[in-house]
Amino acid sequence: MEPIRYVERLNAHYARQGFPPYRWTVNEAAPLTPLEKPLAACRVSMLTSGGVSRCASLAWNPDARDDLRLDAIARDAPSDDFQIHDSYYDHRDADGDLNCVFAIDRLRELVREGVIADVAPRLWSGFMGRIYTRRAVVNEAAPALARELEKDRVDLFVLVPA
Amino acid sequence: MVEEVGIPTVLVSTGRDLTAQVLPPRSVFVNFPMGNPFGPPGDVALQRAILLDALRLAETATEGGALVDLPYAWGSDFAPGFERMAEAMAR
Repeated sequence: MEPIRYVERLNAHYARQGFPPYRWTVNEAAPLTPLEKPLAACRVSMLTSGGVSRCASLAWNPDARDDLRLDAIARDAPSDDFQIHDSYYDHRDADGDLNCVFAIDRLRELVREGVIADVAPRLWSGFMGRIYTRRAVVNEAAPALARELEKDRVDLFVLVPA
Repeated sequence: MVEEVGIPTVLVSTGRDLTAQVLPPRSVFVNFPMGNPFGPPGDVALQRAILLDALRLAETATEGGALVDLPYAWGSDFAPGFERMAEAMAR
């Protein structure tokens, strides 16, 4: 099948539901930081924006707007100790197998196989729901996360929007 | 932001049009439903393959904005499911 045209379809749905028009981000160019070492020497971290939290943590607001909360997830967190609250996508598969959206078991297996060096001490869950305050993300939340990644000496960061 | 402090990133996308306009530094696109960027539950081999494809792109990409279409097929049309979901959102 052809890829779904989400921008077109979501604009139509949002308009019908009376949401303010969503200002989709459009960028003309992208920075590129080269990977300086082979994968086998890399420490990898991962972010999900799929409303994923540990069972003992707060649930995300499934209808979140402008929620810039960011959860650090311990690298050894068991994949069956998570809850998902997000009304913006169908997470029934991920409810049963977190790896559908946040492949942390697969990431750890790649360490054991020697494909990557290790998983960073902290994985991340945040930026879920609709975010209208782009400036707060660009000026505050994203740079703050980047500093945390630096502290953890992350070599490569995998981003997984739900 | 993250690239600007010197940490390479790679994105696993299920929304090709969204990713093409946001233009992250590197992305792999999987034509799967939102909610299944790494594939179906329990399909360890496919989940691993998609994660590995993403990691490998970090090694091979030479230009910012690289968007690579991965060859995996979902096997059924998930557009109607998306429409129902979008219809029900925020009710």
